[in-house]
Amino acid sequence: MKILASYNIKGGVGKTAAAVNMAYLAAQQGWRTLVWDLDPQGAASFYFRIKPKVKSGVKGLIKNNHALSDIIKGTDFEDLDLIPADFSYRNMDLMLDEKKNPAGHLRKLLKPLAADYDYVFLDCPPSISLVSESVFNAADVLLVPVIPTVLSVRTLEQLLKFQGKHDLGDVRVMAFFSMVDRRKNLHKTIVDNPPFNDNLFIKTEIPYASDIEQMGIHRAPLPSYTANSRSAQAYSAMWDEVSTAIK
Amino acid sequence: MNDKSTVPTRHQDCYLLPSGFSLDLLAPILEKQFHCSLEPVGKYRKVFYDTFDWRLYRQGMVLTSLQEGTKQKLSLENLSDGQVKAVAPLAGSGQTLPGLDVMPSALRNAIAPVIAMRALLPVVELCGDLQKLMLRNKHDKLVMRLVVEQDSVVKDLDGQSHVLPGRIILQPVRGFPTAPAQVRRVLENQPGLEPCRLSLLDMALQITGRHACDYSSKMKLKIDPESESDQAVKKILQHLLSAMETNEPGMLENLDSEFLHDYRVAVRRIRSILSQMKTAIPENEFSFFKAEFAWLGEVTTPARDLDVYLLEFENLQLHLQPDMRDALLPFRDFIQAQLQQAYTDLNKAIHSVRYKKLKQRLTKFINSKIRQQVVAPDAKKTIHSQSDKRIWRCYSRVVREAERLTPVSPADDYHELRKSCKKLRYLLEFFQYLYPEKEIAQLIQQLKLLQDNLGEFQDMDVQSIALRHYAKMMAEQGINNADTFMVMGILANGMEQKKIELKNAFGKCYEKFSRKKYQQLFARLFKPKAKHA
Repeated sequence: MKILASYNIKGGVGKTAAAVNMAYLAAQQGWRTLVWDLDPQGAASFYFRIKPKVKSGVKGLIKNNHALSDIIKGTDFEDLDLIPADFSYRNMDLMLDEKKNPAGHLRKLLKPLAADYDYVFLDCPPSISLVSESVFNAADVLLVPVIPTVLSVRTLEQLLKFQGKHDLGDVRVMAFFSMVDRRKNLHKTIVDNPPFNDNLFIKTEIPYASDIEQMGIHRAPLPSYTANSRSAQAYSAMWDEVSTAIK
Repeated sequence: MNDKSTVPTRHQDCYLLPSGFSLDLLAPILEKQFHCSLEPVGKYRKVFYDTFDWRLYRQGMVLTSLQEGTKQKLSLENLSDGQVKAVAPLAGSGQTLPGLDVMPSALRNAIAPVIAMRALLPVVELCGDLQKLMLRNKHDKLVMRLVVEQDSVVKDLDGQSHVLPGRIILQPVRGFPTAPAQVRRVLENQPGLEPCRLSLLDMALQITGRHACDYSSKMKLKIDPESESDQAVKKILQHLLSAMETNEPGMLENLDSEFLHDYRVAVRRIRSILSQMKTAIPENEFSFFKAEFAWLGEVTTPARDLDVYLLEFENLQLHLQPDMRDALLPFRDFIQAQLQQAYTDLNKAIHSVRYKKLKQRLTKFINSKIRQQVVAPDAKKTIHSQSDKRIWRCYSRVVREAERLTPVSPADDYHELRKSCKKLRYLLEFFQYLYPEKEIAQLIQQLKLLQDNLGEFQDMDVQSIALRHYAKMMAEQGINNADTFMVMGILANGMEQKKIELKNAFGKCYEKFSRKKYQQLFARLFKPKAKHA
């Protein structure tokens, strides 16, 4: 079971779209796939038409050690399941803080699912907190969407610094440019000259496109209703690139 | 191996459909409780894979290649409940199964230890029409899928087609537990619908006239204890000839090394039953079969010896220091080239007139009536009396030979005992159903432990000689890699060392076999005087 976390300190950069679309593509290939909507805003749950509600909330999960398998919901797509968000996830930090090993707790919760799923996508809330630290410890890969702007690149730098300071296990950071508008000079310059080392950014970029925004109207992953659109093709190329890299 | 072939096989919510059934008719009934949407009819194709001796099935697993439209994947499932254990998408619509080495690790790790050296082969293939009815709740969330497979055809291994009844399968969506019960209630009120009692694989096999686990290399043959020895021997020969013929195609194609192995076991068993029961067989037939089956043993030996080297190659490497292991690779290349030639020679032998005549004469002998042949002295005696006599004699011989052995005895003495043990084992297996099952199993188990020690000693002895022989052949062929010869020498020396260890361990193995309770059991079951006392 490979765990991929779609993560950025910053909000509104395309984390949920990346997690939902790539999870869909993995499931379409036949892999048993799970999305865990960790964001109390519940956008991924909304996209999959699943109520953002978990029995006993975050307290049941973190404090009372309820099994994740009991709260999994099937989506409308074969081989694709979801652990819904819950508004109480906003208190996840506090709950984790009470645990002996808060940073290792999400990994511990996910471990029993190893025989049931090939890929798990974590759709993370925007922040850098104890939840993030636990995500970093659980994940094999951090997928970090970066809008090619100064502020967004700066958040990536903050993340890398955080990673440098903390022991985050073997998590591999794979950044990608998101919401790219090549008509903008700044976007073009940054995408063509990616910051940091050569291997940090994957090749595929996700364009700024209205059809991605329309996922909220369709309440479904983009490739499920417009597989041939430029954006859907971009997610498909990104999934190919990521899945090949982590094979 | 834990045999799971008797587990309950209703593993899915599934119903057999009456002819003329259509989802179009069912949808309006379900509309009262769900929003229904019917998907267009598509095509499906499923191929079930297993090893020739059903290793996955016996472990309660089933491997299927499933194709729906352009999507194709391999799925390993529990036979009992259909739970998926591992999957692997297949690119394109390839018809062949990818090798284990390129399968995703989860699937490979689940399959490899179970099948070991055996190849995965298609067992049965199904194809037909597939349609799905999607059931949604009031929030427009999918809560259940109904899948109908109709107009399905099962293709057996000979390419013959058989019609499979239509099925409707309930696929619940996780986390929505009420829908399945609602749907079941509706379906159970539909006329003509019948719950499936068999798994799809079992159903498909049944339609083709087969059943799972229809091959095992184990000798399981029931013989009437009061039958004449002539008839009993012929029954055993028929069983063994059939085992040879069953393995012949796979052996000739070298699908995996076990075909040749099982074929050779059948040949050895034939040689054994012939020599053990020769007083029940006309002399002219015995002489002919003895010579011809010895020939068959000989012509199949080179390929088997080379197979063993390839199977053991990774183990051989592990006996070397890590930095020396690659030096053994030229030896593997050499073995592979030799193996190809050995299988070519084997093919020639199996397609020869001599082999054809051997099988024809054996078949004729098996089918002959006792009055048509010269009657052998013990042919009309009951098989039970003969089996007692033969097993007791053979056991006594094993004891005699084993008692004489010491750690300094020559290798030939160990080989002789190994052969005697093998003869005893075959006799116990041929006639196991004439005796109490548990007691025979106990004796076979103890004998097996002794055989393991002697077998390993034999392997070490033969292989250390063969390694030197192969090194010479390689040098003659211009393969002059000093490192390779050096590591082959290291391995040969290691084998000599292992032989000493095995000789020293023999005493303990024999001690267990010769415990008083087993001696008494052998005497009670087989010693003619003891039985009549």
